[in-house]
Amino acid sequence: MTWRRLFDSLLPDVENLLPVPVQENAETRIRQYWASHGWQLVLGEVILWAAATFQSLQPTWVYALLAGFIAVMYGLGLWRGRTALWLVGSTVLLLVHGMMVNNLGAVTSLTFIVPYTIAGMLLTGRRRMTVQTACLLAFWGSLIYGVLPIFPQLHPPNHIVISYDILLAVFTFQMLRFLSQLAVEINSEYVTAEIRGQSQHFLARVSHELRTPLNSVLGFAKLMRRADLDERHAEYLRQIIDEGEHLNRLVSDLLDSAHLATGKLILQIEACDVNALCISVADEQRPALVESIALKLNLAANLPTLQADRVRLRQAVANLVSNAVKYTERGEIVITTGQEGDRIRIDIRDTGIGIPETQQALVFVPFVQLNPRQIGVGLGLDIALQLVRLHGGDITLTSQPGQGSTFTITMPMIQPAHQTPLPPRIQGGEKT
Amino acid sequence: MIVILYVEDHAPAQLLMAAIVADLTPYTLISATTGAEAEVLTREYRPDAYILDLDLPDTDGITLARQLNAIHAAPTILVSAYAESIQPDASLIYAYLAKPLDPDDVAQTLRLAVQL
Repeated sequence: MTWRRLFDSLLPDVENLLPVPVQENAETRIRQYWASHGWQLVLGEVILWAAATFQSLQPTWVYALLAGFIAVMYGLGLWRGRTALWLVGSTVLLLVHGMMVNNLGAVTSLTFIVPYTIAGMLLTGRRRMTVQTACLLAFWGSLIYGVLPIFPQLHPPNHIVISYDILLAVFTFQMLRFLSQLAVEINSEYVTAEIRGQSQHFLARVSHELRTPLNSVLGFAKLMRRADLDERHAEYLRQIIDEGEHLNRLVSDLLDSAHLATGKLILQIEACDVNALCISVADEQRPALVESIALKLNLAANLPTLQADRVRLRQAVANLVSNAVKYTERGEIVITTGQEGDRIRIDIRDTGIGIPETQQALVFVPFVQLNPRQIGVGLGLDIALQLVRLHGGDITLTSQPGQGSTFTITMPMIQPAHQTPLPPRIQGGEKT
Repeated sequence: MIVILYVEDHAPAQLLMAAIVADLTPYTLISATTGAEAEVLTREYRPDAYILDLDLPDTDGITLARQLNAIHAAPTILVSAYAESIQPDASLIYAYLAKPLDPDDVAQTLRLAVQL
């Protein structure tokens, strides 16, 4: 294994690891950086490890020399920029730390902080991320190496210390993974909250403005269908109507999203036959399927009726099925219904591309599309989840990259009776 | 003669409703642009049904529904591009239609409303 590959292996899945948006060309930039500066990092590591292991130099001297060297380079203008500035800062910090505990911990912390923070800066261009990473690493370093000298009998012989480095690396990675997962969750909450706060009024306004001209386009086009048109012109008209309906669905999604986020969407609860609902969704989706995909239904007999908003539940199921259709090239999509205690369960399983575990939390975040080449605005799954949650249910996801995904809706059978009755819903744009 | 009053300030939408009513129903459509104009037409023609847009220059569809029904009671259909954002009183509003309108839905709703 070359050192470059070693470093690559130290930064697995960087895009999944970092809680902040990764710049588009991050991977290229990292590779370029390793190619031109990687040897310095490796050399630094080797020197520091050697010094630490053989203790030919006191660790504090190592920092002092290093800090002095970098400071001189910086001062002479030979090495400028954020990286150098940060190195001076962190080396001084570690020097203080090293003098306080006078052990190997700071050296090791440094050897890990440098590559990680450089990677962090390259990836994000943000200083905050690198400071967080630095603090985290320094924490682990000082914890392991700072606590050990308090119990001298536990302190390992120097030649074993390097194995602690490996342990530290593993710990750090686990910790980073955990924190980035947490950050993704916090971030998704944040994104949702932001949409709630600021965008909803704007979305409602924009939706209204888009629907007003759509009303004329679709209305007149549909009236024209009744005219005696030749086949060619009838086809033109069909295209206008199809595309108009598509645009209208996008607008509806935007508006639904805004209403769900602000709690303005109110359900119309009625008795609802889940099997019939799944059949109608499947019938609607089948014409859009390519031949290599089979859409199958696996419906439980004697399934009790559900108290739910039929239109909204159907919308949630349809969004999940159409998502499966988007990401499945061949194989099958299976809709399964069943009963689990006092809940109804609907599984939508596909044999599509699947979703890596680290990205699974992102699929329900509004406006996030994991595959940027796909059409749409990235609202379908969020809307499905919000609609099901509004019913007191939930959607869970299990997925394996390459194996496919299963979205599971669980719905309580009875709804609390707080919903108000509405006039009959007869909608122009939305199929009911 | 069955008369339907449509209150809408957007001219293309007025044209569309006129086309729908002319092409798909046997009824006569009269149109107003503002709430004030609608009240005048209601006193004069005593319509058999109202179609009111939610967004009007001098009032809103729900307030206007109350005013017009006080002058002359008739089934009231509310129309809006604001889709699900409104929760009108079921006793006041006969039906709610979302824009973009489907001409067949409009005709069917009108037929049912007029038969009341």
